[in-house]
Amino acid sequence: MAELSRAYVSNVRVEMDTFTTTTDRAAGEGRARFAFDHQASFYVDAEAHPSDDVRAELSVNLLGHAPTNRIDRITYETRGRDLVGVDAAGDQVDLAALERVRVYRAAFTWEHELFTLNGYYREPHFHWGYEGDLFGFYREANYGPNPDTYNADVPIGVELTGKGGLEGLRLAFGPEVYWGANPTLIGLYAHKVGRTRLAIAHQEDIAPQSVVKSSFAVPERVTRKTAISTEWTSKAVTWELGGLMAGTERVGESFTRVVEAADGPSYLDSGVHVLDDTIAMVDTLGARTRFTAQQGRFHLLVDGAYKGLVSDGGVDATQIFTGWSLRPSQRGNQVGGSAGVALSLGTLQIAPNVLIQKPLVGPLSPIADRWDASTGWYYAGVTPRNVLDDPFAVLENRETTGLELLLAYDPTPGSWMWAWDNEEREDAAFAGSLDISYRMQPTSRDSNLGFLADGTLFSYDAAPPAQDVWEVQAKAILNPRGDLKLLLGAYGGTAQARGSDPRLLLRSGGDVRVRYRSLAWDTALKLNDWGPYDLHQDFNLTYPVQLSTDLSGGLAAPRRGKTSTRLGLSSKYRTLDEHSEGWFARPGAPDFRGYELELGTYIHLSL
Amino acid sequence: MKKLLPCLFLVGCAQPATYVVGEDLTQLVFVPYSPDEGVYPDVSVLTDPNNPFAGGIGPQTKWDVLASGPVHGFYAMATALTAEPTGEHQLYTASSLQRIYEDELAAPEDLWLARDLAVRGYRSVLDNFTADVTFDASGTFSWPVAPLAFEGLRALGGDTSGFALLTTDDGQQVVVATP
Repeated sequence: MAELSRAYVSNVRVEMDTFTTTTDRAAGEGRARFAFDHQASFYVDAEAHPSDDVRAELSVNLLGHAPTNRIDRITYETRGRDLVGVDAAGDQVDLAALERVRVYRAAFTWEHELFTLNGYYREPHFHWGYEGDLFGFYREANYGPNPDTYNADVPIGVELTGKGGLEGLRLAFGPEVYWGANPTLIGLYAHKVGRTRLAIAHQEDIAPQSVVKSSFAVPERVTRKTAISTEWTSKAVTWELGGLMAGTERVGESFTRVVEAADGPSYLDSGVHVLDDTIAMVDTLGARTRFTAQQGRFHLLVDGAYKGLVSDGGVDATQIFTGWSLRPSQRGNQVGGSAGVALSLGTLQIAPNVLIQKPLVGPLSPIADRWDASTGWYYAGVTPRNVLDDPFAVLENRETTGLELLLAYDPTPGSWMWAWDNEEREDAAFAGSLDISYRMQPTSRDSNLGFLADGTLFSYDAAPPAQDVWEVQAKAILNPRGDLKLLLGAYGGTAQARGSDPRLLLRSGGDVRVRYRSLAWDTALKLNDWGPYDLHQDFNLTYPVQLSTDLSGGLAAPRRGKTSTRLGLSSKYRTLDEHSEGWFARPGAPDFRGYELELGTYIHLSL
Repeated sequence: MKKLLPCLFLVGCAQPATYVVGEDLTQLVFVPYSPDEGVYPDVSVLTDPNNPFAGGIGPQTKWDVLASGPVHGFYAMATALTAEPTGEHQLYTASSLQRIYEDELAAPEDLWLARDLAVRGYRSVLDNFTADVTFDASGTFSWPVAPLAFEGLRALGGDTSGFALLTTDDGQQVVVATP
């Protein structure tokens, strides 16, 4: 019996779906306008315990059938559809069979007396922000459904956490330890002496990332980063101070910058002088300090940083005091910081926050090149920088003065409102928050990267203009009775495209999720917002209305990240205008609005 | 001096920034950089130290430069070809090379390679961009690039096998693949 328990199948999941779809482009009349297809996807989960100290999990997906008629055409199962290659004779070969079986997820843990070793393949992991990684080298990797959507095998790597004689040591290594990482090795060693913790962190990229699946996570150039930091803690105060050296391999690289031309001539009458400059060693240096204090109802967070041009950190995902949305970027080329106060008045928290950041070298606006045939002189153009072709770029570190007011009502602070699993744990009859932010952005930014239809990565030749943006987000959780839970969300605000389209969105939406025993009803509405994929944000593709609803019941209440046996109905409906993917002009009807509709049924079985 | 050393470490290696004022290209000459330069899908022109447009060239500027002569035209069109692989860019890259060869606008030892690149550029039009067109300056009228490439190949004694140049009933020249 003991031998049997060393390896076993822990779960088998069967997911059977049907989809009935139609659009305004469909031909025919009546039911002839509808298309029907189905999806069959199966999972086998296995566990192995070769010894008491080692545990491994493996989940394999078996693809039965991938539908061709879905209105959201990119899904995990899409990989098994329309996969065609060309053989040596030049004939097309159906390769879909190669994608019928795929490792969906894998993980292992080895508990040694000196370390815990975790291996992960498409399995989320946490960051080291609370352990001394002040500059966020090791990023949290928790991407929800996105790795499935984009068929990305992320994260993938191993993480070692020292204990005993190796207490304080952490190492991570792998092909893509967070989405968009190059193959890399990251190490952190932290040691506490009294109230002071000293930490040193290093990241050494090994080679460029060869796989890019989404413009949300485009790998940047191979680099090297080292940081030292200290944290001093008393009863009411924590003070962190750190220094960073990053991007030393870019020293000596040239870059273009511009300075405003006062009176007199300018480069190609652009109003600026253009300069060729060079990355120096000082541009690799950065520093950050963070101070937190709490006294009774009063909480204070002050965060400031100076980052040289190529002194890029990672992502700081730490959550301190409350759920502020305005957070300093860890990218290089900036000076700035944030300051926030969280005042707790009984069950109500009032938390204003200010963010100020300014790049040391600003973004480049496009200047068209010019050829003077009469003199034989050529004046090169100027294009916005990007993170692959230039030593640095102004992106989320663009000049910003941000103001935020966060109001939260939480009568049961034991279930912290900002915890990742709060939706399930919140036990208050009513808890909610309202977050209002306004970003003043007096300058533009450099160029992001996008994909063409054939998967080619490219840099936009421009960026949306300088523009202030605002956003309001509200959420509420209601527990009117023990077996009923309501989750409400709403948002609204202005937003700019990730690509170069200058159109400013005024978008809004909301969702209602009802949980009653094992029943779940989710409804979401988006107005004038982007579609579901990265390309929609890249190319500023929006839909006037997006409405979806899903009603399901099963053997148990649905839980975040867990699949259970459920039977359900779903639908998606959206309208299309001239800014939507799939819309096309009708002669004589320039304001014509198209539509797409999908009706689904599903049964998901899980042991 | 001791205080100066750390400063030198940090900033001493940096070159002072220089103002960009344009580049005098009156003395530009054709110097082949690689055996495939200007022939799709080669992109070595982007790393050619002699290419003044290696940082990219604007959509209108390339035509202005092409009109100034074949040497400048070659670098402009070969650069545009890497950013936008089209038959139009490949055709004008090859025709610039043909003129460099015929007008002897390169060092004698480089002329034969210029001819070879022109031949392979024209052939690339037939092989890779058979159906592409080129437009007049107004962008209104277009005509296929393949017949021009075929004529160029024939003028240089290049290999036209696999293709034939035909004249249709309405007098248009077309290139068709032959068995």
